[in-house]
Amino acid sequence: MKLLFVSIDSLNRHFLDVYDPNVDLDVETENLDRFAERSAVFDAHYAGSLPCMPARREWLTGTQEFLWRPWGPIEPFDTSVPRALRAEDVITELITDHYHYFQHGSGGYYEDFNGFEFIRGHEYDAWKTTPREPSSSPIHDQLGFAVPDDPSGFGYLNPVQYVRNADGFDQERDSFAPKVFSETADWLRRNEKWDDWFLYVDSFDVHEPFHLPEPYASMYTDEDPRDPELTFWPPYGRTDRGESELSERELDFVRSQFAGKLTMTDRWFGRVLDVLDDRNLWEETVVVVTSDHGFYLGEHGWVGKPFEAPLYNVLAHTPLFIWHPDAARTGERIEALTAAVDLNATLLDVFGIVEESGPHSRSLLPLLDGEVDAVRDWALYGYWGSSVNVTDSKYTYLHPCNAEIGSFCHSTRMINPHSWFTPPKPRPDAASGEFLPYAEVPVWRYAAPSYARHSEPLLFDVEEDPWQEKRLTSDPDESDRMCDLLVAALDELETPSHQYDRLNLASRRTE
Amino acid sequence: MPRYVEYCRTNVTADARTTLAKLDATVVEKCCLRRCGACNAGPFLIIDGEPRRGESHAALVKTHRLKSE
Repeated sequence: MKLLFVSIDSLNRHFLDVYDPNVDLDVETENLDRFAERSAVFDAHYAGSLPCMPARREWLTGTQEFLWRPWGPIEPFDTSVPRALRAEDVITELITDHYHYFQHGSGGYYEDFNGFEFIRGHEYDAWKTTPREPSSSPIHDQLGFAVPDDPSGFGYLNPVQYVRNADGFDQERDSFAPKVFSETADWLRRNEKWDDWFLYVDSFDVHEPFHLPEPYASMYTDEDPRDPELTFWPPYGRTDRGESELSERELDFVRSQFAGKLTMTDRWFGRVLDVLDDRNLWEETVVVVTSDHGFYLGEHGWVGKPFEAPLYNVLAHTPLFIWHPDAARTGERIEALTAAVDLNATLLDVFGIVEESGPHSRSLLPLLDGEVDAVRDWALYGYWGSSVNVTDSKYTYLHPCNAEIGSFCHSTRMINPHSWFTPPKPRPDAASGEFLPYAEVPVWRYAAPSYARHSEPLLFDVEEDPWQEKRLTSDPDESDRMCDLLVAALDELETPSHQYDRLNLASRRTE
Repeated sequence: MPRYVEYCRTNVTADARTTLAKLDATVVEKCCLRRCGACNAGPFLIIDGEPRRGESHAALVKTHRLKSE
């Protein structure tokens, strides 16, 4: 069997025709549309651990990590998908421009693949060191946020890194999605002699910065895309105050650049579909297309993925399409609730080794085969250290934490609980022990601050109110039922006891 | 309109956090300001959209007050 997995980062499902778009722009995504037409389309698919690398650990190891730790490495007790497939004589390849795999805060994500291609330069990727004076670049003035003191400073995550990286980009082929999907198409052509393969493609686009070549930069706006008063890289936060404040004009421009980037990504994704067509690969290839999360573009007054914003469905309700040549429900809509972590078992099940999946994952192949109507009745999602959220697909229930009660970080490494991208700091206060219910090995445990996203529980009926504009405050029974569902899910995962304390749920705990 | 002060949760000591909470300003605690290098290097605030670094949060606030006057 052959398996192609494609993640398109930050792909807002509500920009896609197949998911009843709710944007004023008519965004061209003809290739995602044609792939959706032949695939099973999942209507109730939810993110789990957020943001980027926590999502990848869910996909690759089946671990819903945000209850135990934040963004961090593959752990020694994890079995990643490519590691499991090596034992089955399946050749594995990673193609990505997602530089987080190779940055402080990660570790272990690419090493298990037989081959990997890393396309350099996206966002803060530590790639180029020239031009020394980045202010000479025509895009320098369009950075949405300033650097303190020294614009050419040496700190990690300096936005001028992107200006250096993109210096000299003057045509569409220089952009990232074109490179990622061209490489993917070439890999498919070059590797026909392998009988069994797993190709894992992780496109950082449509993630910001939304810096675009023509024709995409002007496709959804009448503005001059190189107007220095307009940014293609908005800071995260409220759109009405502070560093992230955007006027309607500025926000419209950001939306137009997101839309243009989606269309560009779609067109180059189409090159991959063309190879599957031309080489008659569909009947021997499973294809999975998904995303890790969405991106606020003014919804609920937010832009980006701010840490202080509730996790509305714009971020948490994600697209999923699966083409399986032998599955009974390929080509249908699937309304059953599914979760990002389930992709781990699903990928392994394609090769008949579902028993290698991680502790929290459930294969979706029985759903695709029509053998079952559901694989789960709850999905948990969140960032480590803050609210914990649950859905049964009809309702979403966002449960706040008490930010004055700290959290704990569990890992074999001393990762920075908040400042993921900087060098790790030693934690002399760490305890060690077998703190994880799913791994019989000791790990470090050390305290770190919680942070609040909202102070009250937020309940929404997302079948009736998919944009979560009407908070349900007059239905205490439903709120109580969803809180019970949250506790049942936490109990089932054997969540650490401190989580119940910081979530004010200790009295509802059943064990 | 009161000043708008944003800070990262992990950039402040408990004392600085208390001081910031008492400011005559809209103070927003964030978990990340996506300038991890600057934040990791020392006291760091964003005041009315402008990033500021200094010897201490108190010094930053003092400067901010002087500029307000």
